[in-house]
Amino acid sequence: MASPFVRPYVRPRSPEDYPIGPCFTAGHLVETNASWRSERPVLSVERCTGCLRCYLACPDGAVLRAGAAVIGVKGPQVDHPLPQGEGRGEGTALHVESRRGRGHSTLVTSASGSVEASPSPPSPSPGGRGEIRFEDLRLTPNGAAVRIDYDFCKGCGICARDCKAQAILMISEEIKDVR
Amino acid sequence: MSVEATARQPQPLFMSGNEAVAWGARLARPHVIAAYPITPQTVVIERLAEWVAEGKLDTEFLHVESEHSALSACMGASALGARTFTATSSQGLLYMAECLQYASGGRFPIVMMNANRALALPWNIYGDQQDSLAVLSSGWIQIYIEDAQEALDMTIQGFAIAEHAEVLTPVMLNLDGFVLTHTYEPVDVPAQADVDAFLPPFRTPSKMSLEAPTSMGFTAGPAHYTEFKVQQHRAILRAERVASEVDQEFGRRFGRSYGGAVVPYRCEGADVVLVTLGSVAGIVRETVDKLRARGVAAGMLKLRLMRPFPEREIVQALSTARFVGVLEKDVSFGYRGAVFSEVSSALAGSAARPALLNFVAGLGGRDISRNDVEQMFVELQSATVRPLGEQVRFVGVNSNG
Repeated sequence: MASPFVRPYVRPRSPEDYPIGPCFTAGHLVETNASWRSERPVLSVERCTGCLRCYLACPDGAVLRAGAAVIGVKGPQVDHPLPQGEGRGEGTALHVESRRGRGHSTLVTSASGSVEASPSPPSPSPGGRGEIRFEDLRLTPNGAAVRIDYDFCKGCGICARDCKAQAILMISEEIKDVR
Repeated sequence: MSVEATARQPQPLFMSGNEAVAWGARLARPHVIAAYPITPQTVVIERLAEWVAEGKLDTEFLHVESEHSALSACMGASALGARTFTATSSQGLLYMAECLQYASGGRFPIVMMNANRALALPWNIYGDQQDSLAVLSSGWIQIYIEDAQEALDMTIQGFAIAEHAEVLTPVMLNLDGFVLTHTYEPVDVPAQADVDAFLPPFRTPSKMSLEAPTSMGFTAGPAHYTEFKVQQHRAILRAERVASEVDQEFGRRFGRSYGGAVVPYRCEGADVVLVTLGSVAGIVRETVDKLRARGVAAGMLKLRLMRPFPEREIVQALSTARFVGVLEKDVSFGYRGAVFSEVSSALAGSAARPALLNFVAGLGGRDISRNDVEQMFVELQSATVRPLGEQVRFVGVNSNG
């Protein structure tokens, strides 16, 4: 699924500027919406099998297929939840306390936090619907099949609960520096 | 499924008001009909369902479990750009009350027939106008119909008004329960081809589709809600002019038109005028003729639209009257009839200050006789400007006297 981008807000000046009835182009976003998140999902690239359960389960469309296009240019980003590393796709070892009582887990995520997936991701199309090919859906050697859009993730944890491979952990937003 | 288009019937068909509505709906070719049967509307649904079963009407007929669902289904279909029709009555209308505001606020141009019927309790299946007048503020265009031919024609016109780009507001067609819904009259049935030419396919400005996905029915907080309501209000006000234009165009094509929002009858120079709506207008018209023959300057003002409310036309038509009565099958408990309130309110802005009386009659299906109507005119003629609270008359109340 192509991810919508945040556009500048143009304030309507009169009733004529409003749509006829409450109906408007879907995905017209004028602001990000994640500020109430208290925990963030963090994805383990090593554990992710590419099954896409989290992608289907996310009620907010905040789990994106890694190869999917982002339409246009994204607006202001919220603070990036993962530490920046160097080198794309090399992985950064993170030691975190598991909320599920599994003791210490070792998560490996890509350096950028949002994992680059397919070898040849589809290019954004003007209509905003990147062509999805089967290859894009599978786990690639360098990353996971999905990435999480922290601009819109509310931190509900459904993805982590649904993940059979236990590849997603919820981490408190108070932990800024995950080591 | 291809449906053979009906030709114009060479002779008028003998049919009830309900069947006339069904014929109008059939000729309008709705994509979706969702309805729940209720007395006295049932025959509308039965005829349409039969035609669908017989392959005479190509429409998606949804047998829903309630009136709330019926209107909800119509909204969903309308959002996809479908022409939709439903019909209800009384308790059914109130059961869909939540959806009425939803449909008008969503600007879904649904056409609905309402068989005017009393409201419980006491339980009563017979005609009066309490049901539709209770939802006067629901944002629907309200049309009141006098006879079966008008019922057929207005069902077709209803779609043209509702779907007009300047209106996009649902239409409620009101027929008096039994008196109109169950009375048989000869009705001219136009040819399908002529109706097709009059009524082009519905084009919604906000079609929900996979190609152009939309967010529908979204939230608007204090910063924006008012503007949507202002827009909705302006659209339904425009419906008065559009309804008149649609009626004139219908008249050019079919040779029948009904005269816009109000129909004055012998109101010119009239001294005493009875304002009314619906099928009782027939008897009032006869009474006016009788009184005129006796030299009484009587007139009738028939209201066809209650929303939008034709304030200017009413003031104009009643400009010479010294005595004005309002006859309605309704009372707003604790005050007076809803129609009387609206007419009085319109006259408050007029230079004329007629004496006003409100005749509440026909509740729960009680007949309104010729004698009743004549007595109303007699009482009106001797009316003076009444003190507040003394303007309402319940007609024909049983008494021991």
